[in-house]
Amino acid sequence: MRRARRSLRTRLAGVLAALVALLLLANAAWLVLSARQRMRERIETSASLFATLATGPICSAYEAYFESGHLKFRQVVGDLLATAPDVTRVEIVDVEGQVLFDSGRLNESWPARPPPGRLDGIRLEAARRLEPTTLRGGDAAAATLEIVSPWVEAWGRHRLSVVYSVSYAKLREEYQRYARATLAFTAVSILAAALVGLALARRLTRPLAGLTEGAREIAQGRFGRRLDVRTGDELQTVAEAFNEMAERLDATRAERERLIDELERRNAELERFTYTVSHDLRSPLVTVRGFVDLLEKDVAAADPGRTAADLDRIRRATVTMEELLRELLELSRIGRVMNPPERVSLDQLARQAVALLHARLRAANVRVDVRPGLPSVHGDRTRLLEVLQNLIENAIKFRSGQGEPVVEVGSRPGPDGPVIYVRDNGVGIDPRYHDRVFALFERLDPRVEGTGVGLALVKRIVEVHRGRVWVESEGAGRGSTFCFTLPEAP
Amino acid sequence: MADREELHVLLVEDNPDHEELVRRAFSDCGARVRLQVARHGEEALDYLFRRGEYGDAERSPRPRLILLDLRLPRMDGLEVLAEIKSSPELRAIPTVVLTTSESDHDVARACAQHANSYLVKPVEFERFEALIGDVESYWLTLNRQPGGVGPAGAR
Repeated sequence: MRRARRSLRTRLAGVLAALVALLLLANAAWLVLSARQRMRERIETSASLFATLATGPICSAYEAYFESGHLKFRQVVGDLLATAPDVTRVEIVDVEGQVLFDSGRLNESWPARPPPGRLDGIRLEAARRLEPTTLRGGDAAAATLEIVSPWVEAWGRHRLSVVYSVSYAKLREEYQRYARATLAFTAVSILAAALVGLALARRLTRPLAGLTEGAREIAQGRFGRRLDVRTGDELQTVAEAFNEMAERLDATRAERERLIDELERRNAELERFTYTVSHDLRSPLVTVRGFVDLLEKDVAAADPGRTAADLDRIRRATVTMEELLRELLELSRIGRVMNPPERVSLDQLARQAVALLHARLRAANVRVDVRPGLPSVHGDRTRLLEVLQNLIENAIKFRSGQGEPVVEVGSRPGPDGPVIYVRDNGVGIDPRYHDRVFALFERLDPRVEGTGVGLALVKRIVEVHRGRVWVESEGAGRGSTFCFTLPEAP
Repeated sequence: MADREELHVLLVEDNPDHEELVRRAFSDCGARVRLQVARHGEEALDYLFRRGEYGDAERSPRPRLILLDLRLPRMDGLEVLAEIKSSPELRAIPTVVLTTSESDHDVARACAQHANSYLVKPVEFERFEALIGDVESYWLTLNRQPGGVGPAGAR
C-alpha cells in the first residue's frame, strides 16, 4: 500500500501533541510564576517577622556588650542571623544616619572604627521613622529588599534602627529547581501525550487503511472486493457506502460487458451479413448480365429456342434478386422495427399461421396438428407469427416423398421454461448441418426453392426475444424438429 | 488435333445458370471439355473419392481440373478444397476457385488451403468467356501434370 503523502495519523497526532504541549507549557508557566510570587512573599513575611523579633535583642545587645565585650555581641548577632537564612546583612544605624555596626564587615578587624558610613535619602528617612519600613531596590535580575526596623525603647525613646538586607538568592535557587522540575514533568507529559495520541490515531486510522486498500483494488478493476469494517462508527458507514458503490460498479461493469459482447456479436453478424449479401446478390447479377450478352449471340444465330431459354434464365434471376432484396429488408427490420411486446397465446398464433398457410398446406397435402398446452409468451405478436409460419413453411418444403406429411406444433418442458417445437416427418437434416441451417442464404438442397433467408429470419426473431432456437434431427429421412424457447408471459 | 481426347473438368457449382455460362464459355473457346457438375460440396467429394453413386471408377474418371465455387449448400467450397488438398491422391489435381466473392478474407482462406488459383466470375459474358479461355489454355493446355499429362508437343 502506498503511504498517504501526509497521513491522517501524523496530522492527528501532531495536532493533539501541539495542543497538549501548549496547555502543559501554559500550566507550567503559571505554576512557576505563582510559586515564585508565593516564595517571594514568604521570604518577605518571614524577614519582616524576623526584623520585628530581632530588633530588640540586637539593639539591647549592642547597648550592653558592643563597647565592652564585642565577642558576646557577635555571638548574639551570629545566633540570631543563623535563624534567618534569607537575611544576609544586619546594620545598626542611629537616627542621624550614622552606621554603627555592619554585619557585612563582621570579619574585619574589630572594633570597626571609624564607623562604616552614613545613610542618606530614603534610607535615612526610614531610619528616623517609628514604624518599620520596607525598601525595595535593585533591578529585575537582582532584586534587593531592605527592612528598616526602629528600636523603640520601653519609655518611647528612639535612638537606634536596624537595617536588614534580605537576599533573594535562596529564592532564585529554589525557584530554578522548581522550574526545572516543572519543565521536566511537562516534557514527559508532552511525550506521553504524543505517544497516546499516536496510538489513538493509529487505532482510528487502521480501518481507513483497509478502506484505502479496498478503494485501490476497486480502482484496479477488482469490483468483487468488499470491505469488512465493524467499528460501529462513521467509518463503518463509509465502508458500507463504499461496498454499495463497488456493487453498483460491478453491476455496471457486468452490464457493460454484456453490451460489448452483444455489440461484438452484432458486428460479426453484420460483417457476415454484408459479405453474404454482396456475394449472393452478385450471383444473379452475373447470370443476368451473362445471359443478356449471350442473348445477342442467340439473336445473331437466329436460335429461337435458345433465346427463349436464356430470357427465362434472366427472368428467374431477377425474380431471385427481388426476393433476396425483399427478405433482406425484412431481416434488417427485425430488432429495429418491433411492435410493443404483449401477451401472446402461442396456441392462437399457431392456428392463425395454419389458417394463413391453408392454400399451400392443401396443395402439398400436409396436415398440421396443433397440440394442446402451448404456453402464452411475452413478445411481438407479428414477429412470432412469422416464426411459426416460416417453420411450418419449411416443413412443407422439406416434406418427404413417402407417406402422409404431418407437421406437429407443440411444447414440452425444458430447463429454461417450455420448449416450443415444430416437428415434421420430412427429409430430415444430417446432424453435421444442424448449425448451418440457420445461417443466412444457407441452403442444404439447391433443388428446393427458396433464398435461404427463412430460418435466418426465425433465428433472428427468437434471439431478439432473448430466446434460443435449434434443430433436432436424427438425419436424412428421419424428419426434423425445430425447437425454440421464449420468455414466458408474466 | 481433331482426335484430341476430351478433357475431364469437374465443376462444383450449385447455380445451374452459372453452369450454363461456364459450359458456353468452354464451347465458345473451342475446347473439347467434358464437364462433370457437382451441385454441392458433398457431391463433389463423393465424385472425387468415388463414393455412393460414383462408386464405379469408370463413371468417375479423374478430372484434369477442378473449378470450385465457394458458396455451396451443405459443405462450402473451402471445406471441399481442404479435403482435396489433404488427400495424397487428389492434391495434384489443379483446383481453381471460381466464385462471385471478391472478399480478401476468402482469397486468403483459399490460398491457405492451397488453392491453385483464385478467380472472380466477371459480370460481362465477354470477360467471362475470356477468363474461361485463359483457364483452358493455361491449366488444360500449357500446364504439365504428373503422369505425363500435358501438352502433346512437349513430349
